[in-house]
Amino acid sequence: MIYFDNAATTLYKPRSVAKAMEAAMLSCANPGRSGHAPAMRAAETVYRCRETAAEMFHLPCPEQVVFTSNATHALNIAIKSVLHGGGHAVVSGYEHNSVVRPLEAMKEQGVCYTVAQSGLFCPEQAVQAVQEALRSDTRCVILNHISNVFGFVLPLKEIDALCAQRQIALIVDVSQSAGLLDVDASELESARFLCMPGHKSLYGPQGTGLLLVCKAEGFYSLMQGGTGSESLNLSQPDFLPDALESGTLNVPGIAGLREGLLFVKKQGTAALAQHKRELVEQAAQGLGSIPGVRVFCGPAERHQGLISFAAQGQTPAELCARLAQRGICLRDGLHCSPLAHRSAGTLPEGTCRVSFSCFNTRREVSELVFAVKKVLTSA
Amino acid sequence: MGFLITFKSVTHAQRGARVLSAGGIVTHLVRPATVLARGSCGYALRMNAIGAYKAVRLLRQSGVPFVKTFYEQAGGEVKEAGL
Repeated sequence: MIYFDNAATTLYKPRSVAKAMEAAMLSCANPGRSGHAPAMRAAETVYRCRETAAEMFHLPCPEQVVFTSNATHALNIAIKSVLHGGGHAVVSGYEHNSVVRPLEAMKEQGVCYTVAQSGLFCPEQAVQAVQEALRSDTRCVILNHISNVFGFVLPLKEIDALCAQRQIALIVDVSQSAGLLDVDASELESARFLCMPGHKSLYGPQGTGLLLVCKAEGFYSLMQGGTGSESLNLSQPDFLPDALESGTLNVPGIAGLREGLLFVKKQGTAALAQHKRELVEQAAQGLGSIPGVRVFCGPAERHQGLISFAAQGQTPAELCARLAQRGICLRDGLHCSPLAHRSAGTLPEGTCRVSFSCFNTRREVSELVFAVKKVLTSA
Repeated sequence: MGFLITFKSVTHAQRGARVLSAGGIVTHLVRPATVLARGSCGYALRMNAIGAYKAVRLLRQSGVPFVKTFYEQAGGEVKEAGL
């Protein structure tokens, strides 16, 4: 089997991830609740992961790292923290439904939003579209750092500067860039939250996510409950991370996530990015040489991690199903991001997406190209 | 004599421990019943009282929020230090 659905989740992880999870399951109790050894071991396990994440993403304090169950969970907290009283948001034309659906649900509470639509691999257009969409009552801009459909690296620094100039909060979805590009919270002046899963390019287990709180300016707790702190207080604690972490944490998951973070740190994001970029270029060249195949490819500095393509005469769903029969795993369709397809003009059928991890090889890409040729010529 | 610094949450106590360790002060993360019984829910760092003033100064400089401070007698009796 060849697995190219890493933008959904990385299937293959470093061995240390599962080992750490098993060790945590066998030795860790509930962190932050008790003083006995298994509880203290759990607390140490959790805190080490906070420290590792804070260091990787350049946050001054580990308590600014909040554990969530996935990126959607983190985005919901971020969006509701900024917009719970109503207001206007601007979102890029490449946002995932994990951004759009919370905004749609919040319309009843007086929230409205504008999609700053722009062309694929056109960063200047993206900045201009955001600028034009800003209003006097805009409370935040929500930006997908790398499109999960096309691998388009959106102009984060430029949009951050724009938000800083207008004193507007920036929420960044770094689901595809965390662990691939150097995501530096300290360099983002307007960033209030960075949201990411633990199970993609950070190589942690599913069920883990991170919310990085860059500015502690009011939180919206999706859940309230036990935190192990201020137990006499019947209200949710107002300090991090307890304000946003109710109930027992996923300690085995967090133990595994730390190993994933350490793996990324050891490999280095530059090397990981270069490897994936080489695979993107090889796939673009190979797939692009097949008659009837349209490849969505951008320049190196604006395209990373994955590549989308579509073929004449076969829907993405049909093509990916036939590739799956040959043991090649891709994702087809809209990838939970209709906005991105609207921006790129690939509605309603979407694309086939090939998304890479550090464990993919050039040989696997060659096999994919060969298989696509075979499938299309035998159709 | 021992010295205890209490924190609202285990995370604050852990950051406090790291800050103090970097400053050369050895601490132990504990949940001392004598202190918790006084309503200081959470965790505490136990250390030698010799470093008490330095520890409090380091925590304040680093912005680590703590609740109270206590001196701990040899018999386990505690007295609020109010540093």
